[in-house]
Amino acid sequence: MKFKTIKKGAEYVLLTLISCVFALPLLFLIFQAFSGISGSLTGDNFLLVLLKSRNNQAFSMGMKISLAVSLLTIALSLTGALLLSRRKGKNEDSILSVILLLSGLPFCTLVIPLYFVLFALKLLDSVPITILFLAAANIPSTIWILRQFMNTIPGEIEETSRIDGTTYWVFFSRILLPQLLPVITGTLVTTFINCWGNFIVPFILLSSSDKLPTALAFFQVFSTGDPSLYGYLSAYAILYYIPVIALFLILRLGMPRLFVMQRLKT
Amino acid sequence: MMRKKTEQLIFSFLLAPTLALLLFFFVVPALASLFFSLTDQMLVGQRIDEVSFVGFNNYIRLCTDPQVLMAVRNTVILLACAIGIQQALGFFIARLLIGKAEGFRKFVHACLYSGWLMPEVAIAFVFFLLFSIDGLVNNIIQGSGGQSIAWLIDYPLFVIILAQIWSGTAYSLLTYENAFNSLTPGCIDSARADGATETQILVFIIIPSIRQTIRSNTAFLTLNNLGVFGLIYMLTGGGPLFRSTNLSVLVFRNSISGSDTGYGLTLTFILFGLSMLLSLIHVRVIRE
Repeated sequence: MKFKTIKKGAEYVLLTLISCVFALPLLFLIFQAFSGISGSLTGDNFLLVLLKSRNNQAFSMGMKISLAVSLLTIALSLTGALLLSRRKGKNEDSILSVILLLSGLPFCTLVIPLYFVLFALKLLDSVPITILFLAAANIPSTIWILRQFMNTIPGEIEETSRIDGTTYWVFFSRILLPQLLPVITGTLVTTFINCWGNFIVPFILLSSSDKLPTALAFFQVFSTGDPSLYGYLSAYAILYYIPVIALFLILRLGMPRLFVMQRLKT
Repeated sequence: MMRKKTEQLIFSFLLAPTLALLLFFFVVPALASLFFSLTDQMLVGQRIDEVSFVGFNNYIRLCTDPQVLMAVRNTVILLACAIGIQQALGFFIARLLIGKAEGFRKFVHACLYSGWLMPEVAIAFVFFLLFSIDGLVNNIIQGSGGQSIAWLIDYPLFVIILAQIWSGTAYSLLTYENAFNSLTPGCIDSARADGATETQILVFIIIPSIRQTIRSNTAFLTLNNLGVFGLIYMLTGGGPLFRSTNLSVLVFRNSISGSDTGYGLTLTFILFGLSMLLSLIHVRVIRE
């Protein structure tokens, strides 16, 4: 019995140590953000970031792009998933396999050749195209998730409502949509987080500085390599990180952990 | 009958934009990279209008390019570390977390999530702060009387691997915790009652029963790791002298910032094919 207690205690100590190592980088970032020039604690860095109009522009650009992408993705994926769920058979299975196949492709293998296609079409540096690409890149995995949830809803429900004389639209809006609401919110928020953190897509497709989202505006300052800006950049990184944490906490209230994990790709 | 037909029509109408998007953003880039890889297209310069087909010259050039060799080596190292270390660490922590107090589990999760949720740009910045010449790690080394080390110049790959472990382990942890929770508890208890040692239980019961999870997790990590770009590009720029360049950074360097389009896209096409293959394996594992 005693041996067991010691073992359990040791496990707790070990886990605490590992956790502290993992928390260290973030704690250091927070410390760096709050430390002033003379080593005193101050919130000046945060004020500096918030007061710069360039940063506000980048924040709102990031918000706009991420919001547009998540709304577009969910709307198009929902119609796709619905259509697939109405046609069962061999065909549907192979379409789903293709969708799953596409959903795993890394962004860089798509966006680099796309750069040349858009270069030839003179469509580079366009926010709408960036939004459309990000939506397209997110659609396959979203259709896959929605389809999996729809599979858990028995098909008899639709038949029953049809026999009762409702149109498909009524069935969709009154019966199906309320059941799908949690997964729709979940995919919406996770798509938003993914776009908010994405670097490579705006990095390659956008170039005018007034069109750049936060990730790139941050990188522009970071790449100057000026050590006097480290405090400012730390505050910037934290402010950029906060929306993700907030959304994640909201998400965790309603969605299972594994769902959230599988949807968030870094 | 009539109604069914109109419904079909409406659905096709609604689906058309999705299909058009997928076609334009998935198929066109793939075909474009295949096409350009057979030419000597340049991005800028005098020869931009004189494009000619060069057959498989680009592919032959790839095989003898020392930079490609270096990038392949680095990609394999990064992959091995991601699959080996992240998974092992996730597995280990998940094992230790079994039967711990709920509040404590939440604390451990929160610490590991801090890296997982952080945007790529911020991760690169944090690790730059930690490992730059006058960064925290060197300060600690100097404080304890050692010589400071130029981490990002002498050991660039090592820093990238650490950053990946920091941000990626949470995923493996969660996958394995989930797999452990779905094990039938009676199975392990009866094995223990029969006198099996902890190692035997691990090797003969736990690992075989979560084999499926291990496989799909490995496939996922491989695919994800192949596409790592931002972290490496921002942290080391792929340097010094290509020592931390992986395939996706090399693709970018050759095609977009290097202006040798045809050659760069040859590599993209190969990377595309490789990810397609890995994705295929991933799909088979998932749908088994």
